[in-house]
Amino acid sequence: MKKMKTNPGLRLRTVGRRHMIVKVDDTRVNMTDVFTLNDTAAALWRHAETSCFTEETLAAWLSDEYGIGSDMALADVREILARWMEYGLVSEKDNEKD
Amino acid sequence: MLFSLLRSGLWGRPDASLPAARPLSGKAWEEVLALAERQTVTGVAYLGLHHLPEPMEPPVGILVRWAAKADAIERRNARMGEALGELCLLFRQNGISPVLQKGHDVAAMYAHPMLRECGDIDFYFTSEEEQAEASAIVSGHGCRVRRAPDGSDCYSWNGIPVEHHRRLLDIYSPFRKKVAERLESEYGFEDSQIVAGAASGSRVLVRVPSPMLKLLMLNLHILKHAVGRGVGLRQVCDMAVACAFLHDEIDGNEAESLIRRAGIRKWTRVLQSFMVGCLGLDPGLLPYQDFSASPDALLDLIISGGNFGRFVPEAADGEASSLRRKINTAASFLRNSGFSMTVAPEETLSVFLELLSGQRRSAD
Repeated sequence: MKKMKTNPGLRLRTVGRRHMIVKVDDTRVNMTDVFTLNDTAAALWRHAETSCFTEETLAAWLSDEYGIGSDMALADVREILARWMEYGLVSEKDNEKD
Repeated sequence: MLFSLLRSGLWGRPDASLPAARPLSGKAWEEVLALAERQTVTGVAYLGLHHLPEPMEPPVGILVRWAAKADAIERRNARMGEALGELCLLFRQNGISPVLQKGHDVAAMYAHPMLRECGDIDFYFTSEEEQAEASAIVSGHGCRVRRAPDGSDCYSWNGIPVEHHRRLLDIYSPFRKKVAERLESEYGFEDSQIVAGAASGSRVLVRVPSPMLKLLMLNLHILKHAVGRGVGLRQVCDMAVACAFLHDEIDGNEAESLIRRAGIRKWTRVLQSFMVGCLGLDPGLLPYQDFSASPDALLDLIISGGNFGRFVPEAADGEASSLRRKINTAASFLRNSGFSMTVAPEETLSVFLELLSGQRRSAD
């Protein structure tokens, strides 16, 4: 089970029912990406940023919170984590530094 | 809409005028965002967005841009806080305790300090020797220090603009210079632990003006710019927030007497009327009850000027030549003098003379 964490400096911003994460790209001057999240993804992010996590721990939380089957929760979590990883919002936790 | 957002953002509650308002078009929202940026209140207005009912919210494209700008403001504040911490430590290690003017000290009075847009770090030195010593110290750290026509030293510390001043209170009337000196020594300064830097809880020990002096300093600073280059909404928001935050530490009679001594009673009436009428400051939080003037002329001045007049169209080019800047300043003065001569004639004439002598000094 690989441990993951949300990347530092990222903050979920919520205005009304809109949820956004702003990510500044240090390699591109003055470039900023803003990711919009739906309510469930935002809740998942809030849970993820409290501590390091695995796909399984997040899926268990999602399953409990939303009353969905564990297989479906795990599939949803894997899909969203793959996207967050691709966009640089989360990364694998470096165990050696812990 | 911008004022409605500011009232919500400043005081943390939905603005009473909102239910009567109609949802704005995308184009109108673009204009609100642009105006907020010109007036350097994008962060406070962003807070105001949180109090809008859903049908009134801006389109998602605008919201996303606004969130990115709010994020950038917070990041810059964090960088500035770090620079402030480093400089305060450096000066303290060398036995110098400058006074922090405005900036993070004012931001600390906001409910969300990191969303107040910051400009530069302004330090005030009580003696010429201290100023020279501090400037020599930063020069020793590789900073290129430039002397401004008004005697301030300016440099950049890790990309953050810093200024060392010899004037705390912007009183220019030669008849009241002594008053400024007396007020400064009468009310003095105090040590404060200010939140600085990205790490939450990281604080820096710095000297700041006492509450009464702080209010007077903010008031006079707005007047100076209202008379000269033009004034922006953020500066008046600063004053309103300071009035609310410091209210319990201010004696109303003393504040009124101090305003009389500074010769700015009429101006202060207009400023207080603006803060109550346009920014929704609870009148009970004013230093003293005098807000019977019309805020309209000041409102016109602010809307046409923006952030200290920096967004008057002809002044928009940051690379403008020195001559062009002087012409812009003179033009702003002439544009604003109709208003300022009515509310503060003594200061208006004195600022004008100061501007002229400043131009003469810089030409010498």
